[in-house]
Amino acid sequence: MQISTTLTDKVLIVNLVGEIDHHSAAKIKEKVERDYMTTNAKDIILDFSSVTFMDSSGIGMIMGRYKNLIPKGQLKIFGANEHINNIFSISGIEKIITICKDKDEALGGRYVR
Amino acid sequence: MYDKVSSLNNIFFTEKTDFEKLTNEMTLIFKNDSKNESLARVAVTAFISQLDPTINCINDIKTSVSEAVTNAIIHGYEKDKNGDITIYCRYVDNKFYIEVKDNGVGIFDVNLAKTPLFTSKPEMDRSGLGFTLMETFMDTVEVESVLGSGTIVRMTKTI
Repeated sequence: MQISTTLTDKVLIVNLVGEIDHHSAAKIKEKVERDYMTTNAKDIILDFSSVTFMDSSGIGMIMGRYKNLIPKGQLKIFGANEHINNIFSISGIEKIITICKDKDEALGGRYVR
Repeated sequence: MYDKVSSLNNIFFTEKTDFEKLTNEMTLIFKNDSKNESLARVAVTAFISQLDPTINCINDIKTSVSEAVTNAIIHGYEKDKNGDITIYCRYVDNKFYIEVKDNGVGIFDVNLAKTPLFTSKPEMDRSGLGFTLMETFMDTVEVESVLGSGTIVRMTKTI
């Protein structure tokens, strides 16, 4: 799992590449928590477009970040594949976290490209 | 010399007829290290590839294997770093069977453990969806657990 983050106008965009399981979820948690604190970001966007696999550990990881974020900021996800979107709907996570189609939607038209 | 060749031919012929039924078995034993979650997924995916499964089917089985192995690591063995996890899988034609076994602490209440969103480890960012996903993605899921001696998760799926 490769994890990199970029900060744009107080939004921490987390680019994830590879498979999310219990092993890699721990690494994502550590990296996101650290970068969120040090960059003084407000919102977090998780870029799932290069995530090839996710099990329930991914749901736990997302919920954990969400709990740490509210009420200060928002958490959004974009780019998840069909299988991962299916796991999102089984878990019901989409009721509390915004699942977006692409990066533009996640950024909410805030930026002119 | 002629006899030897003829007996070899017989062996070959017998093996050939046995293989008309598409069947295979695999046993995999590994340590309860979280690195091995991906090892287990890759090995089982390679094992079923002979059956030409669809991408959806591969993802269903991969996820279920991942859930069962993760449960064995974080619940079965908890802080014990030296436990073995055994995966046994078999298929006969398009019927796939898998067992994930640990020699860990066992499950106190299997029905409670299977309850969606129930987790005994909320502080570890666990979602409590492991068994829910296994039951969604596989045709059958059975759990046999004995406190103090371990747990076996048995799952089947028609590919």
